[in-house]
Amino acid sequence: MKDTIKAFVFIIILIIIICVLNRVFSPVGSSEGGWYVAGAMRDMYKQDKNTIDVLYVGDSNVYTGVSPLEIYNNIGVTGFSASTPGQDAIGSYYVAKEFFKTQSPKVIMLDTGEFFTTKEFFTELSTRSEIDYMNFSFDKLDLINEDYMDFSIKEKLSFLFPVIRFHDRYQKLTEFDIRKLILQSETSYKGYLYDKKTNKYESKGKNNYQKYKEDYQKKQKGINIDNTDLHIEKYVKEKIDELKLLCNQNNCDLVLMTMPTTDERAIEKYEIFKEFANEKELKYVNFNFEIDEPINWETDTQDKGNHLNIKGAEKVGRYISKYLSENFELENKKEKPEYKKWNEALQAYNERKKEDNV
Amino acid sequence: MLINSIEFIIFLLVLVIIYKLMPKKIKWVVLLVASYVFFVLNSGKYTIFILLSTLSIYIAALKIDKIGNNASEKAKTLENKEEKKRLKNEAKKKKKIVLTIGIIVNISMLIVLKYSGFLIGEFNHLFKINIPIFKFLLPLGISYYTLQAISYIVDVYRGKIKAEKNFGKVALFLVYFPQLVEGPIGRFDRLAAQLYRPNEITYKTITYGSELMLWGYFKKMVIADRVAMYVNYVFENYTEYTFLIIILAIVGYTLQIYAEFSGGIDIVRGASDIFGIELDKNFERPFFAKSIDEFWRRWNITLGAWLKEYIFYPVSLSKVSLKITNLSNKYLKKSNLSKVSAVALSLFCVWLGNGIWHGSGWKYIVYGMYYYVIMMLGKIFAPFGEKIIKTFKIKTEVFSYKLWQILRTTSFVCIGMLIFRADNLKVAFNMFKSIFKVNHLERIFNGEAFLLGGLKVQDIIILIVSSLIMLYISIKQEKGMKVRDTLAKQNILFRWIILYGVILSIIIFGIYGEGYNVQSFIYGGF
Repeated sequence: MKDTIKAFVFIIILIIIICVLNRVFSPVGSSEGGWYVAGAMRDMYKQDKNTIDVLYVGDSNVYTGVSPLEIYNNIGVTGFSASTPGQDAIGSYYVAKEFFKTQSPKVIMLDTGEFFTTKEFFTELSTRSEIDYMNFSFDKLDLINEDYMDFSIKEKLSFLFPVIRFHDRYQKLTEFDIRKLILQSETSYKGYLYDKKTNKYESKGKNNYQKYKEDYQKKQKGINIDNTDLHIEKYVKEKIDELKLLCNQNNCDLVLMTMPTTDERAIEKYEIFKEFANEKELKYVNFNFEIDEPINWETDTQDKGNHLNIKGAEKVGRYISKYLSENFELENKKEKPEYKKWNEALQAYNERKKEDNV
Repeated sequence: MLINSIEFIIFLLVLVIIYKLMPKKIKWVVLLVASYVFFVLNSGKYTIFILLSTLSIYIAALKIDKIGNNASEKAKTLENKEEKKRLKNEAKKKKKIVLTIGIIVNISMLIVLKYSGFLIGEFNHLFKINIPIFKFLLPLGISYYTLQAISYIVDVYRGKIKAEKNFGKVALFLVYFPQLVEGPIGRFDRLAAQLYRPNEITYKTITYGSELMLWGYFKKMVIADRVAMYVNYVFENYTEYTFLIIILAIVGYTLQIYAEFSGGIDIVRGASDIFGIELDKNFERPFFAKSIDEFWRRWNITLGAWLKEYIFYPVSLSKVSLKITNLSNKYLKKSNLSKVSAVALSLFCVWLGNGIWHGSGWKYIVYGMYYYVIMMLGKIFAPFGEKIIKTFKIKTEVFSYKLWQILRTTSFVCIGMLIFRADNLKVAFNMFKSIFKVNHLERIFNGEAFLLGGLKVQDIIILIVSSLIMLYISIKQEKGMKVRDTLAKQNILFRWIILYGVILSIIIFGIYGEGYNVQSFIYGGF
């Protein structure tokens, strides 16, 4: 008996040490590659309980294009951009599940950007970002065991123990990797990753919004999505059904949104998403064709049309503010004393914009 | 399923639980089933060969026993001594025939699977013909279990052991999973009883076994696979390097193979210890050896012992050998050369066997012959060496002389390792020549020479520190310390710090996962 207890204690201490090492060695939040994004995701654990009304989920277009503080500034509605690089529907579903543990959002806006993405196009960064930011829970285990992901035993273990995957980061460890164990301050603007860079989109035509809209109206008549080779993946449909159910159980509305894009097949996709939203009885909003203030791909993108910069995020923010005001009855929290932190965050955000002359 | 894989750890954990839960009577059956699962997972359809091998030795041993028993029974009824002798000789002849068939069956399988490619290739080359060469995958551990199979029937033939009547038990002796990967080569008289008895898995067997396994993983994953990065790079690009870099690669390979082979043996011995089954030692700190003779008594011990028992002795007692001994006694009198020539043939067979066992190809034969020549020269010039020591009054009991002996032996071993590692003999020879050329000295002074194959400064530091730890432990063991016993006597805090330290070193500094090329066990391919 004594030996059994000893062995048990030995293993428990070992697990604790490994858990600490997991956090230290995991690149989440570090400046390497795109790992700072998953670090921003951890900001969701730093939000006060039940203070967020809108959750924005999806891929990189969300954390670069949806600035919750912009929307808070406009209509006083709180939100959080819980998005990771290439986040697929599976990742979004588990983000929402994780989010409901501490928050009661009224609306979830899900980006359609990865609806056509199959497993072959998942990258290590996209997959791991979806998983590694999460605290340990049964939901995390469910995510790791998702059939569609089809992870090997080694991969599954490495998700539970990131130190196994990132053990060779001992060569790159910085003071931050230790500090992040106790770091309380947020590293993002409510999940939004601020970027003021402007790197214009080179292709002509798209920059002329009027022409783009006219082209769309012309093409719309000719588009026949019955013959398209674009299909929303089965796993996406299944996960959206699950997400819808989750939202229903939590009195929350699910909205599909398509972020601004320079995608050549945006029109075709628009039609597909509209039909899909109809079929699933979901609201759908497209920021390419329904936005009042069009994106200028010469000034509003940080990387040649791939992602928006702060100017683009401002435009999207204004449109989302309008959309939320028109479609939902969400409370303006600006004057509420318990949202003091939000006003402070907004102030810091506005000051940064002011510094950057945005 | 590599023994340094997570699958192996899971396999072992599951097996420990099942073994612990099973009734005493069928514990050995659990090991048998698990070993076959392990074998099938590794070798698939080639499992048929170990089954054939088992069947052949099972039948041969029973037959040998039966012939002996029948002869003894019959002899009891005979009064005449001459008759008894004739009966005994007849039985011996019959037993020898069965033994020979048993050996041929087992050796044939080994030759077909392991050496046919080489032999047919050489045959084609010699006679300018084109017999198609079939490439077989090797069943797991064929070089090990074949020797075990032969030792079993020879021991039955010699009357050292009784033939096992239970086929399952013979099968377990041959297929017991820890020893399949890279030995040690077990002997029936020491191993069988341990395998068949219902062993208790206790806190002690688990801790002792796990500690040995951890030490093995440390040597394999932290040292061997790290130094392999440098070694592989230099051996693949040897034409670009000379002098110190080639020396470092050769010494590095010697370190790699030692840390890996002895580490692998520690892992399998540790795994076996958990079940209360003690496998034979295969290493006794070989780099403290002061002569090549001694080195081979400390390195791959079970192979050396097997060669001695089943090749050296039989050849020494053969008619040819006795003839050579008589002739040398006659012409060389009782000189040193007479003694040397008496063992020349036996040692030749031993080293030829050693070389061939290591692989198919000329370089392996040369590898064996290299040690044969060194040993023979050592024996021939031994009196000359003694004379020098006497003449110059060299102190042989002092540290400096022992160090010289160790360095001399290690240097010979390193050259042997060069032959073993190089792609072929020509490469080995060219690399050896490159040692004496000095080019690009700046690579040494600017540190480039040490950072090849992706090694970083941190890797060098880890290598030095971990090798020093290995050296420290070896010195302590050489002085008689039993590391696990000593550790068990320490206070729990110290003990656990050490264990956590080793575990975390393996997790953090081990070479595994993304971006690393995990090396297969070199001796695991035999």
